[in-house]
Amino acid sequence: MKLCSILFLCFFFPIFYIIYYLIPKRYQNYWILLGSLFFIIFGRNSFIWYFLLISIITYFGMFLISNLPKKISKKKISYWVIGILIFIWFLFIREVKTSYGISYPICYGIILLQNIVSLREFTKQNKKLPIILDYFTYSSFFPKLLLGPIVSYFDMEEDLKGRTISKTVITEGFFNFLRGVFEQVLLVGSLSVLREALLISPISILSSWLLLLTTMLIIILFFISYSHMTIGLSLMLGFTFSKEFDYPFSFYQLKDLFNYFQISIKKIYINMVSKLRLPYVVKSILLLFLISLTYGINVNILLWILGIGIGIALEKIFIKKSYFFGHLWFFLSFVFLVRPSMEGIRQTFTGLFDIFHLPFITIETGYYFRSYFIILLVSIFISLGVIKWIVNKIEKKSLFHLFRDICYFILLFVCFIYLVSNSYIFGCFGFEV
Amino acid sequence: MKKLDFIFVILFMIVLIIFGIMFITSKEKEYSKEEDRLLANRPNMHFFSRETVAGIEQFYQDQFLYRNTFLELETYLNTKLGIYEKNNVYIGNNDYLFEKTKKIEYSDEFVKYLNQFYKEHNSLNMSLILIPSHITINPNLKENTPIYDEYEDIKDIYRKITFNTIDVVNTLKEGNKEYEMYYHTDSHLTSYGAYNVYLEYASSSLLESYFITDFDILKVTNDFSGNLIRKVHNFNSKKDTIVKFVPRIEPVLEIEYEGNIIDSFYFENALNDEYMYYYFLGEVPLLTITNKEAEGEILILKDESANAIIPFLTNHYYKVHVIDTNLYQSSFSEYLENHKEIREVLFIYGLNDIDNLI
Repeated sequence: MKLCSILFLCFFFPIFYIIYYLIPKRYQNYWILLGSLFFIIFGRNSFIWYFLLISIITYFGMFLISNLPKKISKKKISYWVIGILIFIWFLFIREVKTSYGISYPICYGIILLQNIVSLREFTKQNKKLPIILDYFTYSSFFPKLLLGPIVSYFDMEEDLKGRTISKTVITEGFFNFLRGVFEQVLLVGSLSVLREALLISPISILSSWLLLLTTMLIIILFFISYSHMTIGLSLMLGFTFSKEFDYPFSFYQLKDLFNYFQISIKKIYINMVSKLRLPYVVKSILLLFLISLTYGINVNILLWILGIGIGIALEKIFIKKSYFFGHLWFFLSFVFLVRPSMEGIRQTFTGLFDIFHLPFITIETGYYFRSYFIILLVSIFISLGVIKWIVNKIEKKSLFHLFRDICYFILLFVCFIYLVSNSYIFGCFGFEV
Repeated sequence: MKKLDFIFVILFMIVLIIFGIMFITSKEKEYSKEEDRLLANRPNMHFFSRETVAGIEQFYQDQFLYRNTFLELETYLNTKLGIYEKNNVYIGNNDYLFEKTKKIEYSDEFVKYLNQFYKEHNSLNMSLILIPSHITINPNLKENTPIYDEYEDIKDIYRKITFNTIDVVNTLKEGNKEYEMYYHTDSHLTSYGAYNVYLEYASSSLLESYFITDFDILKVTNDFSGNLIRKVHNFNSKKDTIVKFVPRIEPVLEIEYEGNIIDSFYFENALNDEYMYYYFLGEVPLLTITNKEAEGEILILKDESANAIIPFLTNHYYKVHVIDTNLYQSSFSEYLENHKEIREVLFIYGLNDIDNLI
């Protein structure tokens, strides 16, 4: 189910949360499980079977490990289970077709990784076998299902056993969720319309740069908005997650980029890769490959990640410390994501740099730039974290809350206008949830 | 302040629930007359099916309360942001709406088909008229709006066609200085535009054309909402006026449709429909109009862009056979075989519709 849809906003969201607050605490986990299953059922074809298979096998693996005689190596069993999980993941992603090459939805990787992480932690730290319903509540937990963050069951265990939900937490969660909805519908949706228009308009140098900027903003805002929605929805249920995506331009050096982007996935892979006895470069490439694997095996995404990897290497060897280099390189790396396939990448490069054959500007570029100027400006401010910085500055001023609440009310109404007219493009090309 | 925020959260939730309740209790609509399309109905529920989810989402969008108001508000907001384009329609100055033009994808196939047709029937006099889009004639757009040069495409097609072609672009441009050749809210020619095309055709075919003063220009309706309004969802915008040219000395016509004789090629019933353009010739695949005071027979193969032009031609031919190629299911060659009296063939198509024909 899409988080930014009338079905979710007008029906699932209010009904689910109101009943959640009204029922006794001991039934709340069951309600989350029920709601999450409903959320999954109204999602992708066959995803429910994938989810059930992965979760059941992981739980069975844990059960087996906890009941093994001491002679048998727990580690070996856990590796076998992980192998089976990866095999199932492979079987399912082969069947999934997305609109952008041979990519696959990120949620498949999320389910796999969260179960592997839980199994590993269970085996390594000799944890107690989770209660089956609690485990399935964790595994199916809908706010984090689509784009993470990836947390192990044992990170959530305490909250699953008991949590306090205050008015402050509900309020904070609700406003976080709304912020994500606004970013997704009003900015990502509108920018995607601009991107489509630029892709079919005549190529000029300036239009290619505008297309690159738009592509970057769509991807950044898409992930940031999901992060806000996930944190918000979880907080409203009493669960606290750290950010999976932050404002990526907050990094000082390029090597710190993944502290702001796909944070939990990066941590998991670093844990896995750092223990391998391999040269630093090989480990880095392996790490980048694993991250791209989660997004979907796709020539564009692989090259994007590789491009960032090369940037990190260049920074380490030649540049040392430069705020400007990292940011410029990160911006340019999106060149690999503007158009699908190798031919698309070649076309993008030509558009950006072929100053001898292409016009500098066309009438279309000027027209679209003017038309979407406000949306582009707001998107740039948000992706750079400028709006967040301003809000932090004025947060303590009197009437700020009233002003913010009224703004949110108006923005929600505007979102409905776009949702009903269906004139925005949902989602982010190349990355499917 | 936290208390205020929480009150707002409750308020938000109430609004969402009210939306939901109002939605559930409202009557399901099957058809939107403003958008002139069937709305999505409640889908059959099949769990685990992505189609069901897509169907539900479409259903909620289509059946949403005050949907038309929301659609209008979206257009209003976009224009305030500086976005004057929606569903391939530009919102121009003075309430003008313009269909966006683009390069004709299948122009070669179109040319090939017509040339082949001419080769098979080369004893007949054939002519082609391509009607340009409104934007080519009257670019009353917001400053620096990009326009695709459609006239180049027309000239290119005309160069490749092996029979007579009639260029109406300049006639329409000239005519537009005095009268409106196109409707504000519709992609088709007004009766004035149709008259100018007729003049050009008459001059090319050496027909003695009627002067504008030979007609009574009668107002048909002031309440015409064109097809472009449905695309930009500007339902309350200014309405267009439809007029018709009635010859002062009206010939006696016999109009045959599906084997029956009908009163007129003006379909009065269309004025009760949401889309009134079909007042001209309706939506019929084949119509034959006999004028016993004239001579010669002509076959007109056309799309709906030509509807307003046909009435002018009935004054010059004994029999005008009108085939709408989008609706007619049989073979045109066969039709010509069965009607040996036809000596002339005229193709009239809107340039923007060529891709839909092929």
